[in-house]
Amino acid sequence: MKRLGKIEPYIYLLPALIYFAVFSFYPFLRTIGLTFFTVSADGRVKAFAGLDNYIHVLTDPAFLRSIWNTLVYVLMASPLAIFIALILAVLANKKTRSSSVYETMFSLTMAMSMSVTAMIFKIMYNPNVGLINKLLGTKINWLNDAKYAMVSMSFISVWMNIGFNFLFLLAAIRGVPVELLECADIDGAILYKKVTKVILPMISPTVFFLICTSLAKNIIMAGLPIILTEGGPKGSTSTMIYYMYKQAFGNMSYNDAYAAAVITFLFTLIATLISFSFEKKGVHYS
Amino acid sequence: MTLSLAACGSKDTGETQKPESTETVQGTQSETDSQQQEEQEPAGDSKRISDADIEISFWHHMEGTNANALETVCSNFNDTVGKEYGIIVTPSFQGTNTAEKLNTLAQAGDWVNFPDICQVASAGIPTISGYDLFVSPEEMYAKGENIILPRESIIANNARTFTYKDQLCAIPFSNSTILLYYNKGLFEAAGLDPENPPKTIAEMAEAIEKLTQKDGDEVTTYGLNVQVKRYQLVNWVGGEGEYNFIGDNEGGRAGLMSKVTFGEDGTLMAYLDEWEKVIATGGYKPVEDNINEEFAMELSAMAIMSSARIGKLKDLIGDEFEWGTAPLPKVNASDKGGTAVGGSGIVMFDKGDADELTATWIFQQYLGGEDAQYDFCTASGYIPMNRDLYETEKMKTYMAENPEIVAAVDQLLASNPNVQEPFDIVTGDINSIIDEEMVAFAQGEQDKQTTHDNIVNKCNQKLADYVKVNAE
Repeated sequence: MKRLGKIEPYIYLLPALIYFAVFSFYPFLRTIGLTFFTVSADGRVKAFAGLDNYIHVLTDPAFLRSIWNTLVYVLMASPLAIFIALILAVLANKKTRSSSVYETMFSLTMAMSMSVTAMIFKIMYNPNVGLINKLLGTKINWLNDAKYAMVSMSFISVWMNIGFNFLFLLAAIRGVPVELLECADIDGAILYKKVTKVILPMISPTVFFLICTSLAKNIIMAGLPIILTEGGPKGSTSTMIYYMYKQAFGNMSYNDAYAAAVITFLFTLIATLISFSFEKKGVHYS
Repeated sequence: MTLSLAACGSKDTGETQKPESTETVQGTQSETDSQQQEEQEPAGDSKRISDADIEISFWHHMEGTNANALETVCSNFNDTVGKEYGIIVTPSFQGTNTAEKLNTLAQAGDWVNFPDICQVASAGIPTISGYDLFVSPEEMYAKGENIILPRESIIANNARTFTYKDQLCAIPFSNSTILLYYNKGLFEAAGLDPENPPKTIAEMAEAIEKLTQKDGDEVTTYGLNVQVKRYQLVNWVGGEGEYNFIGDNEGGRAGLMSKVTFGEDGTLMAYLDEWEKVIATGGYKPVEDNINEEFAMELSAMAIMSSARIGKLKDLIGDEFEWGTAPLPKVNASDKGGTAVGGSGIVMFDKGDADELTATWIFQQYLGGEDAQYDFCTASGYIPMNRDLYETEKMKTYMAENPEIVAAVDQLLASNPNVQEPFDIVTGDINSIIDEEMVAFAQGEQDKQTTHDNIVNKCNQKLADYVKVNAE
């Protein structure tokens, strides 16, 4: 029984381990392996290439631009979606009769599919007939001007992710002990102080989770450029994964695609490690 | 894996074995035999391929109205020809890029999960024709069995679109051509003849100047909206002179395309010379935002789009204003090439079962037949690829009632079959290169020569990279 007890946890882990091994670890290791070979359009390994594929991709201006675009997109989309959701969650914290109405409204964006949202925004962004220019009184070509295209796509991402972030943050805020907030009230703390000194430290594990998932999700984003811009104008909305997708399926160049995939993974890994360094300093589990 | 290998290994058997029942399908029996059989057997049973119904999986990439039209065609097949032969077709939507799905399966060696038949864009033909399971209509026509769609019924231009290394690799199905769409009301208001749209790019530039409306410095109605990408450019350059292949090896149809030729033969520069006149008008919108909607809202007087958009524009415009279609304005008045056929064809695969292959072949031909083409094209707006259909009364009536499609049909039939979109393989990159360079040219960020050189050099670099890895 004692020996079984030791292996018991691993037995529970086995199904998930098999699943990940088959569908994640094996393809991932195979992809890494193939980056060192020349692979033809029909998937045949033709020759050992050493680091040539990486050199080719890292000297391709289109991929370098994709790296920059991805970083810009992540820096614009991730913090803003969490920040706006946090404000909404603080506002919605107090339970009232109408809570369910605005809670549903705030979280509704997570029920929208990316393709539907993208098509709606495409019309709204139209420089001639779109709602946004009408409201702002501008004539900006939001998706077809290289200066604005990535900002416009980031805004769609923010809008889409607010609902998901809101749900998590609302649940976390409502989990903050009432006595702590009452103590802050007795001490005369204003709302800003209560949020930064009480609520944020208490919900920091949730914020940390949202930061990690948001970074990973946004670094590998490709849906919006596929649907809206095909990476244009002038490559301004081509992300790393969009580049990978285009090389693999638009150009049948698996050599570039494999190398781009591994480099993107490294970026995601670095971003996650940075997030975990934040965990040590700023996340409170007590 | 074992199943995959089994499927591959049994290909030869599938090709050489002929089911006994297919003898009756081939029409080799005399009329007397057929009459005797009809007397002896229940109606509809004489052509059955096997005792049990054969199920055919059909992958397609049609959406919305077009998907409904396609499903109606499949349903009609199941109720008529399918019932006669004992075939049941099940269509399934596989996203907008079926070639990508097939390629994924092929790389994994997962031949078992291949469909029997699949709708693919022409650009996917060179890759698909290399699959172990692939069977070309050319081979099937050469066998001479179970022919229900005569080879001659396929319009030569459409056949050429899906021809690779002298083999017809797909039966054309949902085909289109590029057109000039124009607003007749705005033409009249600008003093232009609405029944005489521009025939050359130079004439189009003159029309743009008259059609463009401004409020101060701001353009309120553009004379022309089109974003020149690969599709548009290869149609213009391809139509120059008698015809132009765009790249070597007949634009990739005779073998791997390793370079573009429109730089060295001067056709790209000839096009840019004319296009400069369009840009100089100040009434040309070089990026497409919502081109259908903007044309429908009279924000552009002319637009250049595929004929596949006729149906969509009819819905959007309704009776709001009168509009028409015309052939794509030529680069030079003397050009005779015409335009390319766009769209998709139907490819089939041999899954190792002779009866299934026969059934698939019959369905593949049915999709190119008069009934299927009429039903599908009149519901979707595509141009029929069946020559005989144009001789029928119902098609003549349809074209009389839908004059917008006449320009597309006339243009297609008048075009040289050698004018085609090239099989350039690195289509995505070439599209991006042309798009970026042409927008930069239109927005005054670079001159004509730079645009020309960038397009040629960058396209050649991408093609060279591909050839380096994939040349045999």
